[in-house]
Amino acid sequence: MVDGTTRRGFLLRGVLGGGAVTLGLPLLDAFLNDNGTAFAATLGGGRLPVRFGTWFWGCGMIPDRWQPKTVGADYDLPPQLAPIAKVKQHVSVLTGFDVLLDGKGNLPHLSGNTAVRTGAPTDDWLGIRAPTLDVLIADAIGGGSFFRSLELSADGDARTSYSFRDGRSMNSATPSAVEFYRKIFGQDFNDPNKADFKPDPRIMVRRSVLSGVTEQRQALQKRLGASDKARLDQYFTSVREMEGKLALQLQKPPPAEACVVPQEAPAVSGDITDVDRRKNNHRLMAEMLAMALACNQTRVFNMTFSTAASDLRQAGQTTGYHQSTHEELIDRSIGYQPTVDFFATRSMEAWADFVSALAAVKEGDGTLLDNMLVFAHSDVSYAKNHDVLGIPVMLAGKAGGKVKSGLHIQGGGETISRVGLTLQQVMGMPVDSWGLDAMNTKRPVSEILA
Amino acid sequence: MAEADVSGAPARLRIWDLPTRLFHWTLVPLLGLAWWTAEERMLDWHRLAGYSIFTLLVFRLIWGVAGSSTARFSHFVGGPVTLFRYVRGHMFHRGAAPAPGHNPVGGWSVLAMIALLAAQVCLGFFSVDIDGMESGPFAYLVDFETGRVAAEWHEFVFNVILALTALHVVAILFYLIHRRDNLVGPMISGTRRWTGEQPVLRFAPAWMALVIFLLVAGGTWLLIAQFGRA
Amino acid sequence: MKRSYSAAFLAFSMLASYAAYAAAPAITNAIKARQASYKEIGGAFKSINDELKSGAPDMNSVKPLARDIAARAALLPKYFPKGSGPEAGLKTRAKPEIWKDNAAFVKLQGDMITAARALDAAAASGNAAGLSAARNTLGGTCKSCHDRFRAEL
Repeated sequence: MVDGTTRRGFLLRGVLGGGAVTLGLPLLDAFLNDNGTAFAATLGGGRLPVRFGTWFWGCGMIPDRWQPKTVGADYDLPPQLAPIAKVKQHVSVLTGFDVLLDGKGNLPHLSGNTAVRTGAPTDDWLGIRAPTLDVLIADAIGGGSFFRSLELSADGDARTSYSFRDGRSMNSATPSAVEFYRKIFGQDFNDPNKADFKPDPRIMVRRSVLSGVTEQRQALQKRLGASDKARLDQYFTSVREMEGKLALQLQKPPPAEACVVPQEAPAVSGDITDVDRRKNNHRLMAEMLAMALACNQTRVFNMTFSTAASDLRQAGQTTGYHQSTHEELIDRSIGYQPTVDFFATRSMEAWADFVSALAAVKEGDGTLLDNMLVFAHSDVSYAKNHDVLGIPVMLAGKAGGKVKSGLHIQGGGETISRVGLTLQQVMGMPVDSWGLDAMNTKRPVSEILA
Repeated sequence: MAEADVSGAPARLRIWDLPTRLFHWTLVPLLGLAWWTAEERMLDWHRLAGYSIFTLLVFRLIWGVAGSSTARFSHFVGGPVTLFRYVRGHMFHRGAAPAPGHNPVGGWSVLAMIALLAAQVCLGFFSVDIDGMESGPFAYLVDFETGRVAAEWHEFVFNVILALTALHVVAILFYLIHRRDNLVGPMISGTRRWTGEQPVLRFAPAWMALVIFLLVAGGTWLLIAQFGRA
Repeated sequence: MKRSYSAAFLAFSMLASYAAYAAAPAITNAIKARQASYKEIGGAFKSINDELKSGAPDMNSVKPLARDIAARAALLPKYFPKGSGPEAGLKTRAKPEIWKDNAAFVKLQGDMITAARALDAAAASGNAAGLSAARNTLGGTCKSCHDRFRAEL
């Protein structure tokens, strides 16, 4: 019933609406040793898994208004970074690390993000010569969970992904909260008969996946100590709340003239390019991701808040974020582009939402975020000029104690592949150099290492 | 005003109005100034000369539609047939009668010079020097390469303007020597000797020219001040 | 006998003159690299000047441009190997004086590098007044070298 030894982690399995459902369980104290720092001896005594993920937003920031002035701990928060104030202790900011194009052309909204993730400058998709670092990390540690890695995009497009082995084969993303829900709660790969089954999320959400495993839940609760009971209650409540939010997304559209009932709920409701809708969808997916990570459904993930060359806009406006970065005139009385500033700040709010969702899940003697390393970056720094120098980078989490958080580190114009190298080393991979051509480096960013 | 003598002796005919003459004679020193300030890399003055030439040209284009008869393009610009007839049967004849205003060939050379000057000013607006330091007022709207192309054409067109100016002087000398017709005097005084029947010429009032000029000058100033970045 | 000698001589002299004509790859690369670099520097400098002329320069644009100029300036000295003047047979405005008066040329190159570094520092500090002064100095070094060592046509 509770099986801690399979790759699927700790699971409750049941049946709902004629289909199999699974409910993963977070790491309860009962599974851990006395300190809460490792698995219980009876379960192998292994270390708590350290997860890795990336978070991407498009169109960078306005350097003057984003880069902190003070270096080290307790860095200042300029206007565009103000939204991360409540999660600042979890977040490190890395500025001044450059993509070195080394004579290659700068392909707008491509050269920057691919170079950050592959360590190699390129001006052509087909010229991409290395896999993204999340693929390398997933190859190393992804075997310990059911999904090798989860690619998510908040924009409703499965092609929005910056995870690939080479320029031809993108790992496609799960583009909506509904798809994601189905993926982590509704699939049962162990049953060959049900390989094609796609449980109806509307039924699942209305009746709750919790009701599919009621007996198993109750049996488990009886065996747990007080704090674990409370934790489990909290977990079940958050699952139910999340399902409630999903139910809103899945509401049927008003009856149409022809009155054809859709077979399946639309993947995403409403215009997902609107920044507020995007943030809501993203927050929901972040909460689900936190659950999936806590339940060891995956150890590697990639979340894209907005594509490179950001597709965000505001409902009612015709000029979106990307167009504004190039066409909006600098308001000389304030010294920057106001609409661009608006969207950059919203993107940072989404990042703060993401970090909060991960920090809200308790695990062992800390939080889920403490046992993770999240790598957030954009495709450019100053989008107006497609500038790939000083691409903004933020890290969240402590990687199980291997990394310090809450620092501002200045790169001084050095190659941004130093960051990618550091991340791989932190995740335990035996690499001592990374990157190609001018971006090859052997020096990790030692300031963040604990 | 002219007085006809019954014996047929030459009378004076008013042909060039004051605005046209002022246009001609301020353009000459302005061109010289533009040339010299460019050579001496005094580009603030060069730009000023350019803005002034621009103002004069816009004024001349308006005056060529609204001004005195001899200033109007419709008065002196002829088609290919007129041109051919003039060159063939009139231009080189020693004692041929003079034109009241620009002759057909002269008329086309006026258009050519105005066009070249206009092109030159426009090229100057977008030019950038090799150091990327000095530029025309609208060069910020284009990239460095485009600005350099504009600058190189600006230099070339200047040579064409020089050539045309030289040709203009040669033509005046030709009329002076071969046709025994002094064209410089009338362009200064506004009147020329005339024998025989006097053509009917209308003259627009000078105050109108002043108003137009001031409006054009103000408009140019606004254009440069608001949208230009020197 | 004589005919074959003269034929061989003809062939050899054609070959020799072609060899003299075709520039060595190192020379060609140097010429191409410096022309591309100067063009980029000119473009970056123009953009900085356009920003300064606007009265409220966008430092987010100016900073990376100034850095680019400084980085490129530092690399320029190695793009003027001997034989890369007009004698190379390629289109170049580099005058032979560069190698005849090499000491003077090298000094002016050094001036440019110093001025470019100063512009970069002024941009990094965000100080608009210092930026104007640094811009004037750098423009002056451009002009000095061009006046003396760059052919007009």
